[in-house]
Amino acid sequence: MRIIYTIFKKELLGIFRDKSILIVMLIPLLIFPVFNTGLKYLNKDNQDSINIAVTTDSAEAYNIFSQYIIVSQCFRINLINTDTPEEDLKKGILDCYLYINEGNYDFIHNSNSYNSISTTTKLGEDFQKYYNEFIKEMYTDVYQFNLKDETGKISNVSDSISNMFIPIFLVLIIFQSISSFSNDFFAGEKERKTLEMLLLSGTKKEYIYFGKMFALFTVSLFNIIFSGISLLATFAFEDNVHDLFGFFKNGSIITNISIMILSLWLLALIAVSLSSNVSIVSKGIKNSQFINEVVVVIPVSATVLNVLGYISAENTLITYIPIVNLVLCFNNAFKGFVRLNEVLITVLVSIIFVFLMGIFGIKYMKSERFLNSK
Amino acid sequence: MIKIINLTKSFSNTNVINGLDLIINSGEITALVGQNGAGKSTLIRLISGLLKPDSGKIEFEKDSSIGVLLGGDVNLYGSLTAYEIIHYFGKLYGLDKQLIEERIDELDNILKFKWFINKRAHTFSRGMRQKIALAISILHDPNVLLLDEPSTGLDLEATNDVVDFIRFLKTKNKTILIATHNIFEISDLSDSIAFLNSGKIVNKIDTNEFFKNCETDKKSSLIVGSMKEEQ
Repeated sequence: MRIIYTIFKKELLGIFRDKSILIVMLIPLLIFPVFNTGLKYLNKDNQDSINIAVTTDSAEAYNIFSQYIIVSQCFRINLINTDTPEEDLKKGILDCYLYINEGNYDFIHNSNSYNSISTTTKLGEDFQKYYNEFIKEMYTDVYQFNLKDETGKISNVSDSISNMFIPIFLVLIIFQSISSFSNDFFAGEKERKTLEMLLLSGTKKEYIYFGKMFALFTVSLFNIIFSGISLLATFAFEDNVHDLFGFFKNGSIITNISIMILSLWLLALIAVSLSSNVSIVSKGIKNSQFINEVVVVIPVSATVLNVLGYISAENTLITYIPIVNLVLCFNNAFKGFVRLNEVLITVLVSIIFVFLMGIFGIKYMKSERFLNSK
Repeated sequence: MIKIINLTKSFSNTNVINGLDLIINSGEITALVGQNGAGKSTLIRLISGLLKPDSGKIEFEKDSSIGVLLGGDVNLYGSLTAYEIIHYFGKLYGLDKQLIEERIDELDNILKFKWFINKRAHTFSRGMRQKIALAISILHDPNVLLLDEPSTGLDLEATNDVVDFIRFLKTKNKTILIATHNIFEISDLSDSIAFLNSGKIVNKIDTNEFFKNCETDKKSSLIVGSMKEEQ
């Protein structure tokens, strides 16, 4: 254990002294707040509240709709009383209005209004669904006008873009940084011949492997903690708390953020095992870097396909592939869905994967091929 | 004593060590001389255990410990200081902190590295790196030392330090094998010279006898002549 600890300590010291590595590790701290702020700035026009009016001949219909619009507090909607909605829409006083007449409705919005581009359109779509499902027959049936959470939500456009890109960035950053560390830890040392000095000291190869792997596990944990802090700084203190930080709302102990960090760390462990083994097998650092770059494509593609809706946790056997499974688990946690069975499968699959990779790595290091070059 | 019997090693169907036999006596310095590609570095790696032979045997005396300096440009951990690197290897050898400090003081008398011991290795010249690598190779006080071209690429001052270092080891009665191009550098240090050609020891001769014969033996004169040219 003493030898493993010595190697572990030396590797960490080397990492934390290397400025370029530190920059790579600190990137997540900056990138998400900057990214999110940038998106919000670009979408600032969509952040205004929506002015809506309801016009109808039926007092009953007016009461129902106005009441439900007002009590839907998850979005900023100002109900405006007006007798001239059409003119007010043209003047920009109103963003949209609902005209209800004899069981039919029209949802009218000003296409020149900034809000019309996204938010009022969504509001209209939601209303249409609600209308079709519940109130086509009669107004009097009391159903909640269940607008989607994201409808009319402040910064909903930037949130949806964040939900798409932040997981991809996270996976990319973690895999990239880890593969650069592990490239240096094995292939780099082999190339510089410092690994031979290490072996000549009589240190067992499994001790070298474990010492380096524990250092990589620790570094990846730091990386993820930085990412967690960054996400917290980005989302947790907004007016509308991101689902990831739902515990601020409901006080739950098993939170999305903890599941996300767990799955992200497991993903990092897999990345560590995988890229380290590539680094062990590779002849030089360039070779190792190239293969690891190719390997990064797997989790990033899985994340992209997931955020675009082509693969999901429920529907395919693909979820049993370790990296894909973790990506889906972490991504679902990010979006606010946590399924316990998914988490358990993920943990199990990750442990098996890391274990098998460990056996392979040590076996290869002990084999003749590891240093069998002139 | 190190006894090497019928050793073979090949890389990609090329025989680099080809049925090599050699005996290195205890407490002696043996110079391993051969041209580039003769198999000197491979032999050092085989004896050190870094490489496994395809066939043959390498026998050591009981309780032998080995220190090795590999050939080529030595690299160290650039972000660590020489002090940290020496302590790192000391700990890997199983030495305690106090003993490492004592060894640093002792080795500094010959290698003179203390003036840069707290600097980071990425700032070191080749000679400085070589000194630290030599210190590491002998830190655990091994009784067998394998040195692969210890002075190649060094300036005169650093080369002299390396020669002083080998002289110091001779006083400690170590068994040493030095692979070298420069036979003259260690002519007054080595006890015997083993000539390596195409993966085989073609001749092993007492150093004094070799240089005495140089004047009369045409073959030896030719070898020495070619060595001079290589320099």
